[in-house]
Amino acid sequence: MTKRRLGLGGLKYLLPLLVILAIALTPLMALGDTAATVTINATPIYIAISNVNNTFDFGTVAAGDDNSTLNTTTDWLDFTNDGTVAIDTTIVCDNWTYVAGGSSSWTYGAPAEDTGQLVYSAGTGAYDTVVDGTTPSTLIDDVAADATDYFEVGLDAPTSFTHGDEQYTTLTITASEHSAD
Amino acid sequence: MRWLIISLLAIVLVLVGCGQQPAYNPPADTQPTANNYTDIPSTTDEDWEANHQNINWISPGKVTITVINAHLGTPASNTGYSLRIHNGGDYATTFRITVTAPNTQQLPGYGDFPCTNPVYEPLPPEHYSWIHITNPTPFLLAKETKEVWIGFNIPARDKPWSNRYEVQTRVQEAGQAGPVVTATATRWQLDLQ
Repeated sequence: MTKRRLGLGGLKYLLPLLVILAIALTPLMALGDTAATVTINATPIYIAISNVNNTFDFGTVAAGDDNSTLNTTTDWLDFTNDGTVAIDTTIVCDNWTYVAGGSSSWTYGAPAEDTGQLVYSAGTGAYDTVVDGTTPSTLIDDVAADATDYFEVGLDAPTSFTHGDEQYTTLTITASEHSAD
Repeated sequence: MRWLIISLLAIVLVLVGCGQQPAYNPPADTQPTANNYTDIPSTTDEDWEANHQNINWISPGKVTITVINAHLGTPASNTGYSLRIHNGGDYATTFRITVTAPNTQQLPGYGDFPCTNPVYEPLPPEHYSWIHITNPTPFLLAKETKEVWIGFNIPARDKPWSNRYEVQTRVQEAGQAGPVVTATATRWQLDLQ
């Protein structure tokens, strides 16, 4: 039996073949990833919140009334963190709606004719932050599990009225896991 | 000498080929069919749940979804997580699940120094369409706990991208009395790479 050795004549065909293979395979390697890789981590905690004082009534208001005339106490609204971790809370309302028997709503916003808004503060009595009618804003951050915290809400009444229909809005307090950001 | 030139030419051709990897352009109306999916279940605390049957709660509080090769897109069928909702009331009621912005309004690229915590910017509202809530108004019997699947269908893009987004799902009992009502929210963090 004779051994056949690959000489220079053989290399002449082998090298172009390798080049063609390399060029042909390169695009296929580039297309190797055809799907995203997804990893999901869930934090095993419970979020829960409750409140005891869930009502407010400013009574009959006059044009231009604000916290200096309508509110003399602080901490008259509350919430308790019933979950297992510290929470951040936000506050938002859903604009003004006339109650049964009425026909006209105020506009929600800075005081003007038939236009008023709610303001709040977290136990300071400053009433210095506006409750937005659409976007939640921070109420109190980093409330420990099982802790109860307090805040107060005031009214910036319209500067003038064209009707006397009673107005109503709902405040929503939302709890989420405390963010270190 | 001739073989040296041929060899050099071959190397040059291979290098040129590597440098011209074509971008992956998935068809607009299809999604990748394969997906590597790792699910770390939210462990439940049976003792805590037994002692808190009378209050509303949700779990988990935070879900982080990391997507490698995010530009290839994620099928909603298996990218997401089941949100558990408990009705602590003595009556059957409906809960509403809505998508909301996170509490923090971080600007892109802005964070603490040194960077110990990744910064997640709010998910732009135009991307809320990625989120699919299988049942946005679940009806729960008294003391019942129900799971609702929250899926994230991130569409494929024609170029690589990376970003960190945060968004929340808010759960609120529909029939709460009084002008001050409460709600709970889960934080969803998307780490797209």
